[in-house]
Amino acid sequence: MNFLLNIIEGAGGKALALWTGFTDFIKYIISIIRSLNSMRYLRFRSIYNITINQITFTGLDALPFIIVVALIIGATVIIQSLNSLPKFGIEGFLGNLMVIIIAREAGPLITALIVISRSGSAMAAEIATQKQNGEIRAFEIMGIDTRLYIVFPRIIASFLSLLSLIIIFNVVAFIGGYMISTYTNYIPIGTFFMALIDALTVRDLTSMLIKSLIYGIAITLICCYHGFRPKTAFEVPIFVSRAVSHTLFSIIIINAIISVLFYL
Amino acid sequence: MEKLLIFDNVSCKDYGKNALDQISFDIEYGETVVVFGPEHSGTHLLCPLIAGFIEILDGNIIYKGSSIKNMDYLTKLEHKQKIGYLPHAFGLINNMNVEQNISLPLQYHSEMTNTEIAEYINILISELHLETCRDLRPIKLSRSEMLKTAYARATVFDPDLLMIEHAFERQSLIQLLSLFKVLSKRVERKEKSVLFITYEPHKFVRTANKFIMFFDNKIVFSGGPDDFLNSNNPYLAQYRDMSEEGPMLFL
Repeated sequence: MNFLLNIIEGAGGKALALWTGFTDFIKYIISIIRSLNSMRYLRFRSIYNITINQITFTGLDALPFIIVVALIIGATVIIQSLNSLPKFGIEGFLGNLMVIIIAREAGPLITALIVISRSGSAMAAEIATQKQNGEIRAFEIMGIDTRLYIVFPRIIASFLSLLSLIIIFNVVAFIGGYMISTYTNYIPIGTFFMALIDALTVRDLTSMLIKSLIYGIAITLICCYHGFRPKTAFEVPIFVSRAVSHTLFSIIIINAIISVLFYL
Repeated sequence: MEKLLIFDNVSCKDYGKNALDQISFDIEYGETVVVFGPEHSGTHLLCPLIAGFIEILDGNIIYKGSSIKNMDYLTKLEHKQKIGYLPHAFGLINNMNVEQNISLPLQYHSEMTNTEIAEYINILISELHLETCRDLRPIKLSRSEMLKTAYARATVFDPDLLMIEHAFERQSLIQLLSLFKVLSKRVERKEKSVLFITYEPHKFVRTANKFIMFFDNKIVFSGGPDDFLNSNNPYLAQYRDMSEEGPMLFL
């Protein structure tokens, strides 16, 4: 009986903690929306450097990694497709399959996962460290709205970086993947790209744009939220780790929801 | 003289515990006030209260005729721009150099052009002798250079009230001569006030008009420089003479 009570108590405690965390996060989002009111005090030149630095770190610096991963994923998908599709007599659907797997799902999702692991964690750690060093308080002392000054430029930078990276991922996965796959399977280049272009729709492009926007907002909001939370230096790694795991989980769910909304 | 700041029976909490208890004092335009007292005496709460970081439980703080208690989020942002606050940790932004740190409030708030900001920052840097380190980030600065940078940033809008928290402690004073010159000029201006929070009030005897001593979240002494030097107030006498004998018990 005691054992059962302990389980219920433990589950109740977890549920309560989850609910408190969720309501805290909602309050934080509301405070960010409210802080848009203080936009009139903001001169955009002051966030220009932050935005550029964040784009450089999130977008430009991640480029080599994205290209390598895209090449490998593209080649794997093409090689698997070329070997498997003929067995079912549907080799004519190669373009559709590539678009479904890479452009619709793998491209945006893998890019987002890379951005979370590189930039999301860095964002949370940077803010948490700034808080411990008294820099966040210093911004507030100067009358600078920290939500606007810290979160807003990162949202813009993450959206632009993600959009660019997803496009580059898809293009590299298609082109590079094709080139690598020619070593194992031959398929005429014209046939390959015509099949891709035929399969790609406006809906795919819209979903890609929407995903970049929502991922950019979600990654920044969740990581910044956790970055602002540590009260002591001891808590910094705990919240950085939470920022990454919570963002990963949220992005996978968001990806599923967008896919359902667009393609079901 | 007109009052710049009024503390009217102010009480507040610190980390959930009752802190300041019905504190009343005021600062007039042009006045230099030194607030001192031992650790946990409540002096550390004054600047955050004036800047609107701590909630006022009871009483009120009036700055230039406006109640800080009644300010909403946006009004507080405007209020913070109008006061200069040099915190004890300086709060310099680590990924910005000296020039960027000083110009940040102007870049964010002011309508000055980038050229005008650069010219103005040049003057401040030159006055404080920061030319050699203008491109350095805080990690490479000495403590005196950090203090001077933080001072320049706190006064960039030429605020009527400048609050300086324990800034001259752990400093090589000989390297702060340029700062003292600038600060003296400010103290001489009739419309500008300075509030020093310190553990070392004797350093300000020549510059301050008023000394206020805190103990156990209450004001236990208030007076001019002569009173500070000669008063027999038991709290002040114990603090001034660094004595173990007196009403304050330190373990």
